[in-house]
Amino acid sequence: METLEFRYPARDPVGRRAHVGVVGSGDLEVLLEPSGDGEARVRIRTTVDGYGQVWRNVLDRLFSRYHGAAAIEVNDFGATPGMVLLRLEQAIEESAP
Amino acid sequence: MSHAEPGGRAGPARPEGSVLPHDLLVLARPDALEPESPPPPWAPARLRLAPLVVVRRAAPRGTAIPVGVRGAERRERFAAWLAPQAVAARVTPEELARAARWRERRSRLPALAALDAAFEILAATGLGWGPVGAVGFELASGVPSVSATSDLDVLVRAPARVPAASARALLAALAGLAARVDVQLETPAGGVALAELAAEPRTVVARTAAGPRRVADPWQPGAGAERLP
Repeated sequence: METLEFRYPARDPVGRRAHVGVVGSGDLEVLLEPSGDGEARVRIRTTVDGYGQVWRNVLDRLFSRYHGAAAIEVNDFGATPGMVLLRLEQAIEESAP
Repeated sequence: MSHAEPGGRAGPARPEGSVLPHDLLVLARPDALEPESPPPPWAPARLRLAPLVVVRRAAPRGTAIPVGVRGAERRERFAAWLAPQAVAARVTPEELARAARWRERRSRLPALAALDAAFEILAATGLGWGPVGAVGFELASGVPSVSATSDLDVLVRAPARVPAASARALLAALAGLAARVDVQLETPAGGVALAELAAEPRTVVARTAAGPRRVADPWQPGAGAERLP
């Protein structure tokens, strides 16, 4: 079990709270809500240790095209990077008003 | 996060003699596997104990079947390929449910103890279903694989639409069991979590042979989701 935190500059308001994904092997839960300031914050709890750089790569890619001031909580159960990106995109879509 | 993509090919139809994701295959010979990478140290002993592999979701490579080897630990998984002629026998999740071997020797482990109640609830849906994951592997091989914290992983065939209200009712019925029941529906678009369908998001994630995909409606293949710009 490992906890990771990342921060990105942000400029766009977030519409509403969103909760996507499921608790289950190879999947993850994503909770996204307005951060209340001009920053995006991501907090990850994962059952699989040692993937910090992979998480950074996925998030760098996401925040190169998403600029929402979101506070994001991730509970990961060993999802692949592809699944992680899809769930994050899905949470962003659900958070649009 | 992890590297391996678990599972197998999508779609509920089962052509004669074919294999589907989550089927268990008995190896005709211990050396029949073609590893994707050098086999980890635990693999040979594990395969001698239980010469059984799980069909994964992966793009086909000729006639070779994508399979995974389960180790004793959660992190022990190993991807390989198997020639169809090296398959001695196939065990489907539905066959494990019908055989109901958990009734022969009662277990106190929650994931196994929950099977009787899960059987009643899932049989009442009229859909094909069966145990997968650690429970399926233990029932098929007889090798202890279920731990005190294991979920009961279940596959349900869903060739026709399962309405969100039905998904919620099924989820609620399974919620009171001895173990957490993790249900994956095999839809025409791929494997979709019952819990996700029940929540009715704008899109759901389907696990396919080409990796996970977001789809607006798993029973309308081709109705893909817009990606972010």
